Amino acid sequence: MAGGKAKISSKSKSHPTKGKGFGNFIYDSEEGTCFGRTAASWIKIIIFYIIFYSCLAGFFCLNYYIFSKTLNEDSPKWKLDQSIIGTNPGVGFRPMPDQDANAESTLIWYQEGVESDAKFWWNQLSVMLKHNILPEGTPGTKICNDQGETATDSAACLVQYSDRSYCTETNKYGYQPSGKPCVLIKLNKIFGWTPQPFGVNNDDKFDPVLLQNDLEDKVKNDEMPGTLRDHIWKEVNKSSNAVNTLKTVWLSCSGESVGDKENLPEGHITYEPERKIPGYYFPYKNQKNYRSPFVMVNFDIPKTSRHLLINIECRAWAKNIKYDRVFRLGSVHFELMVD
Amino acid sequence: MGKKKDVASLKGDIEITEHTLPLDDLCRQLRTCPLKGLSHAWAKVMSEKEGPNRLTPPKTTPQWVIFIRNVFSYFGILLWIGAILCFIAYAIQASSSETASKDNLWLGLVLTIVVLITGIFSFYQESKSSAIMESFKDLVPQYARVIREGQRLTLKAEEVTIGDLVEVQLGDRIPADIRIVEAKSFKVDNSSLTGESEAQSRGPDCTNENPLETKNLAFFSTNAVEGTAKGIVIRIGDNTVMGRIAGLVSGLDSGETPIAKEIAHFIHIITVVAFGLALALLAAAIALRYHWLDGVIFFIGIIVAWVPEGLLATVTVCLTLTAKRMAKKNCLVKNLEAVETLGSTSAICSDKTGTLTQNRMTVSHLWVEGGIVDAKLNDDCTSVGVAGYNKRDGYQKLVRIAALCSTAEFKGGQDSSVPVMKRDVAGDASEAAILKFVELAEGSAAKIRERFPKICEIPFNSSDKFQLSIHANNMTDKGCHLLVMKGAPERILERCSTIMTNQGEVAMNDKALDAFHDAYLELGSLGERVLGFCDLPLPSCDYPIGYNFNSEEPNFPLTELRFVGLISMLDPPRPTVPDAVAKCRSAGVRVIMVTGDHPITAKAIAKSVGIISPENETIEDIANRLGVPLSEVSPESASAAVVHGGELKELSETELDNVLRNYSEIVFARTSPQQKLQIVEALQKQGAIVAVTGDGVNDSPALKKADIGVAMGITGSDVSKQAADMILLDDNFSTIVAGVEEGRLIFDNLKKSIAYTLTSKIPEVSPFLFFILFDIPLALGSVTILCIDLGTDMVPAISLAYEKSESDIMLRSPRDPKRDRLVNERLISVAYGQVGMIQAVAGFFVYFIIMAENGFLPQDLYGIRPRWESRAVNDLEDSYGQEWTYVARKKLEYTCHTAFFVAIVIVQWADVIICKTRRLSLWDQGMGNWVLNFGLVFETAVAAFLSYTPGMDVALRMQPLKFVWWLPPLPFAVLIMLYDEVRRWLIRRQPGGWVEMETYY
Repeated sequence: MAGGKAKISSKSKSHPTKGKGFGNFIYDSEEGTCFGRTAASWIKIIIFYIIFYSCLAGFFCLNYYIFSKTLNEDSPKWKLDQSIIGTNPGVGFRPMPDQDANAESTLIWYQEGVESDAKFWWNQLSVMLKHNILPEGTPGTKICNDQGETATDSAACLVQYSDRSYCTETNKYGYQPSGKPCVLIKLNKIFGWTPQPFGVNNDDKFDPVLLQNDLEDKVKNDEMPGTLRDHIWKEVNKSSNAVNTLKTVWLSCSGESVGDKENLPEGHITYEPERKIPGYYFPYKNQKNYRSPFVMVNFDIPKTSRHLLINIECRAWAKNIKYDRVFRLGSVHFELMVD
Repeated sequence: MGKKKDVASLKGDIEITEHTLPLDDLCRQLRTCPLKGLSHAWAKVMSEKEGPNRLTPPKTTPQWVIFIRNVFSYFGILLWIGAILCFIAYAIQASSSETASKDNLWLGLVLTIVVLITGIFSFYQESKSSAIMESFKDLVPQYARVIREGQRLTLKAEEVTIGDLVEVQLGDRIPADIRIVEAKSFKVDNSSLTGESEAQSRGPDCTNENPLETKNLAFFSTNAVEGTAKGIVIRIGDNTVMGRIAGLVSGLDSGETPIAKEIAHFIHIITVVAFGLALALLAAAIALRYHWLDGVIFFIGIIVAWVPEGLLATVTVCLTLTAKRMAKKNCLVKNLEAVETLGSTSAICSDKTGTLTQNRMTVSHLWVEGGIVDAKLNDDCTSVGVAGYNKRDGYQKLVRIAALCSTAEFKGGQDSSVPVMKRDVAGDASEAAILKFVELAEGSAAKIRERFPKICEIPFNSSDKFQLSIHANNMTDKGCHLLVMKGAPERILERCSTIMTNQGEVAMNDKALDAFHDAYLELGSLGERVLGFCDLPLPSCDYPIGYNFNSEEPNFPLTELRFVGLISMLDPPRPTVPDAVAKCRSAGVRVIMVTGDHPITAKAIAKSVGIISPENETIEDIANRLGVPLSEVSPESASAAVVHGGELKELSETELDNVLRNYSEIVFARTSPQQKLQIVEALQKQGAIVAVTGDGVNDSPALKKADIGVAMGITGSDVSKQAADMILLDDNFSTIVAGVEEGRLIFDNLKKSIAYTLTSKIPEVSPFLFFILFDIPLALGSVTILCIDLGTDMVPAISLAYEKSESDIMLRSPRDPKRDRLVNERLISVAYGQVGMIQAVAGFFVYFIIMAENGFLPQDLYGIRPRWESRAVNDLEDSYGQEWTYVARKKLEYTCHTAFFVAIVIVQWADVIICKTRRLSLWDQGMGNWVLNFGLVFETAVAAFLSYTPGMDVALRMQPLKFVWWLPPLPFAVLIMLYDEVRRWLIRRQPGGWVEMETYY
C-alpha cells in the first residue's frame, strides 16, 4: 500500500531531473552548453588536442627521421634471404586485364577483328616495350652478351629486341585477325639475385654429367617439359661458351591441364627473341636505367580452340628457382581466350 | 499486473481478527471444539479445501533460465550483436566472391565462443554459491501433535488444517498460526518474526487488537521455548503471518545492481562511439567511391573491431576474484555483480537482534548494597569481574539467590572445555544469562545448589510476576531453610521490609527506596531487563527440618522479606560492532538501525555501538536534559532520532523523507516487516544505495528490496538467506566493512582494467581506417586483434584487480551513483584520445619501418592497396624496383601484423603500469603487484610464442620477427609513461584544475 504509493510518486518525481532530452544535450540554452560543454570548455579541449597531436606527430617524425638515416637510398636494407622477398623470384606477364574493373582477373580475352578490343591489349605491350627498350648509349647502360659482358653495379644491360620479331607493333603484337597473340613474360626483379645455372660445377666449369642430372631431376620432380630439356641441350651443343649459355633463366609456357594442352599443343607456342632470359642481366642492383628483360611468348591458337578458355602457366627455370603452383612460386598463370 | 496487486496487498498490515472473537464464536465458525478438536471428517474436508499447511516454495528460476540470463547479459548482447554482424559480413563477402577471406566467419565464431564460455563461467560461479544455499535448507520434516475427536495424533505439519486443536510444548516449532486456548507458563521466541530478543509469554487472553502484540496468538514457525499450550489453528500455509512475509519477498523485485547499471552505461558509450565512427567511415567510403557493399563491410568491420572482446571475461574474472577474497573473509556472495554493491552502498539498514547484538541475554549490571556494578566479561569470556564487590556480603547473597532461584540448567553432555558462554542452557533466556553469570563469577552454580537443595518452588506466573523457591540450608547458622525469590523489581520490593546496604541489613527507608528507584530507572534506560532479588532465612524454630512446605497454598511468608539487589541483563552488542560502525561512518556510510524491538532497548544498543554517537542527542534527550516537555524542543536541534513503528505508521511519505534527511542518526524501533521495506524504499528514492542486514523472516522483504541484502549465515532464517544477495558466514557485522572495502577497491580497479583494455582499441582499429582511407596495406589483421584482446591483454587486465588501493578508500565518501561512473568521458578521452593514439603511432612506426626496410617506403605505400590485394598482380614493384609476388608481399604484410601486434604488447606494458594509479605517482604506488609483474612477463612470452613457434604462420599468420623489430615501440612506451606521470603530477598539484577536470577518471 504505502510502497505502491512510493513507486508511483518516485516515478513522477524523477522525471523533471532526468527529463533533459537529447535536444537539450546538443544545445542547452540555460547552461550555455553544446554537447555538454560551454564554448570556452570546447576551445580549451580542442586546443589541448591540437597541441597534443602536433607533439605526437613531431615525435613520430623525429623517430622516423632517425630511422631513415639507417636506410640506403639505392639498396634495400634487407636483401635476398634477409628480406621477406626471399630468393625465389616470381614471374610476371603482360598485357593484364583492367585492374579497376576486376582486380582478381588474369584473363586475356578479345574478340578477333574488334579493333578497340584488341587495342586495349596490344597497347599495353607497346607502352611496355617503349619503356623497356632504351636506345643504345643511354647513360648507365651497356650492351651485354654471352661472351662475358655482364651487368655491373653501375651499368645495367640494355634490353635488346629485334624489329624483325613477330611480336611488334606492326603486327599489333598478334592481336589481329588470324594473329598469334603475344604475351610478355618477365622475371621479378630481386635485388642482388642471380640464377644458378644447371650443369655448372663449383669451379664454374661446364659438366655434362651434372647437366644431365640436373635436368633429369627437374623433369622428374618438377615436371620440366621434355621440349625444354631438349632445347637446353641443343643450345649448349650449339654454343661456344657453354657456361655462359647455361647461366640463364629458361622459360616454358604450356597449357595448365591435360585439356588445356590439347587445346593448345606445345608446338603452337614459340618464344621471341630466345627461350630464356640471359644471365648477364643479373644481378639486379637498382641500377639507374635498369629495365626488365623479357621474353615474348607467341600463342598460335588452333582454329578449333577459338572461343575456348585456355589456362596457361609460364615457368622460369634455374637451379635456384623453386616452384609451387598454389603459391605461384617461379611461375605465373593466366588465361587466354580469343573469340 | 495481477502480481503487482498481490504484492501491494501483501505490503498492507496483517488482518487477523480471530484473536478478538470470543472463543465459542470462533469454535462455531471453525466447527471445532477447544477440548476435542475437529472431527476427522471435517478435518478432511478442510484439508481438501485449504490445501496442505506449508509455504509455497519460492519459485526457483530453472537452471536454463539462469544460464540464458548469464549468456545474454548486457555485455553478452553486445558480443552477440558483434558476432551476428560478422556472419552477415561474411555472408555478403561469400556471396560476392568465391575467394572471400574467412576472417569474418572466424571472428564471428570466436565472439560466439567467448560469450558462451564467459556465460558458462559465471553460470558455474553462481550455481556454486546457490549450491551452498541449498545446503542451508532445513530438510527435517516437522511434526505436530493434533487432537481430533479427542484423540491425540502425531501428524506431519503439512497435514494440519484450520480449526485443528494442536498441542505445543517447549522445543516445538509452532505448526501454524494458532489461537491459544490453554497455556502453562508458555513462552514463544518471536525473534525471527518481530526481532524481539526476549521470549514472549503467551496465554488465552486477548490483550491487544494488534495480532502481533496480543498474547493469545502464536505464529507459524516461531519456537516454543517454555511451557506447554493448546491452540486452535486459525491460519495455515501461505496465509500465515510468516507465509505472507515470504510471499511478499518473492513478489518483490530487487532491481539492477549498481555495477550492472554501470556496465550498461559503459556499453552505451562504446556503442555510441562505435556507431559514430562507423557511420563516419561509411560516409568516407562512399565519398571515396567504394562500392556500397564494401562500405557496409567496412561499417560492420569497424563496429565489430570496436567490441572489447576480452572485457566481458576480464570483468567476470575480476568480480570472481573479489568474490573469492570476500568468501575468505566469511562473506559469501550469491550473485557475482553484488560483489561491488557494498562498495557503492551509502546507507546500511541494520537489524539489531543477532546482527548488531549476539542474540544472547547476558548479565550486564548488578545493583547491590546501593551501588551499580558492571558485570564485565573479561576478553576471553572465561570469567567475569565485578570490580571489588565479590567479597561483599550483599553480593554473596545476591549470587546465592541468583544460583538458587532458577530452573535453568546446563544441558547434559557438554564438556567443561566448552566455554561457559557457548554452552546450551535449558530454560529461558534471562535465567540462562543469570546461570552463566553465576558460573563465571563463582565457578559453579551446581555447588551452590548442592549446598542448598531445593525443597519447594512456586514457578513464575504473569499475575504475581515472581518466582520463589525454598532451600534447605546445610551450613546453617540462623535457620535451616532459605527462601529465595526473584521477579519484577517493584513487585519484589513491595514484599520486602528490609534491604541489604553497605551497612548490612537495614529496615526499608526512604533513602534506600530512592536509591532503588534511581538504580532501576538508570538500568531501565540502558534498555536492560531488570530483575529484583530477595531472600529470607526461615527461622528453624518455625520451620524445622522436614517442615512440609506447600506451594499451592503457601504456608510460609511471602512478605516481610529482605531485598538483596537487582540484576540487569541485555543482549549485548557484538564486540567488533562499535569499531565496524565507526569505520562505516568514516567511510561515509550511514548506519540506520531498523528493528522490531522496543525503542529503549534499541536506543541503548544504538548508543553503545555508536549508531547514535555520544555527542548527538535525540529530542527526548534534549527535553530530559533541559527539563522541558517534548513539545518545546525544536526538532531541528536534534540530530538523532528514535522512531517508533507506531509513529512511522502515521508519517506521510514526505514526512518520512524529511526524517531520513534531517536526522543523521536514526533508530527505527517496533517496525513491522512492511515498514522495514518502506524505509528501504524511502532511502532508495533519495538516491541512496541501500544495504540491509538482517537474520529474521521479518527482515526478508527489506533484504530483497535492498540494493544488497546481507543475511546471517549461522542464525539467519532460510527465508532471509533466500532473499539476500550476500551471506555473512560468521554473522559478524564487521565483515560488512571488509565487504565495503573490497567493493570499493574492485570498483576502482575495474575502472583501471577497463581503461587499460579500451586503450588498445585505438591501435587495433586505426590500421583498418588507414587501410580504407589511405589505401595502404592493412597493418593489423583481425586475427592479431583477437590475439591481443583474448590473449596478451587478458592477464594484465585481470592483474589490475590485484592492485592495492591508492589511498585509504575507507576514508572517502561512497561514490555518487549519478556522477561517479565506472566509465566516464574522461576515461574515454584519456584511453582513446591520448594513450591509445600514442600506441597507434607506435604501431604504425614499426609498420613503416618493416615496410621500408624490406623495400616499401611510406610514400610509395599510399594508394597501393588495390594492386597489393590483387592475386592477379604477381609482380608488384617496391621503392627499390624489386618485384613482389602476391605470396611474398602477403608474408610481408603478415610480418607487419605480427610486429604491430608486438608493438601493442610493448606499449601495453607502459599502459598497464600507468593504469596502476589514477592519481598517485608510480614511485609511491610501487611495483608490488606481483600478479601484474607476472602479467608483463606473461604477455611478452605469449607474444614471442605466437611469433616464433613454427606453424604459427599457417595457424594464425604470425611471422617470426627480427629482434630489432621489437625495439621501435620502446620510445613510445617511455613516452606513455612520461606523459601520464606528468598528467598525474598536474592532477596532484592542482586539485580541481583543468587537467583533473578533463582527465581524472
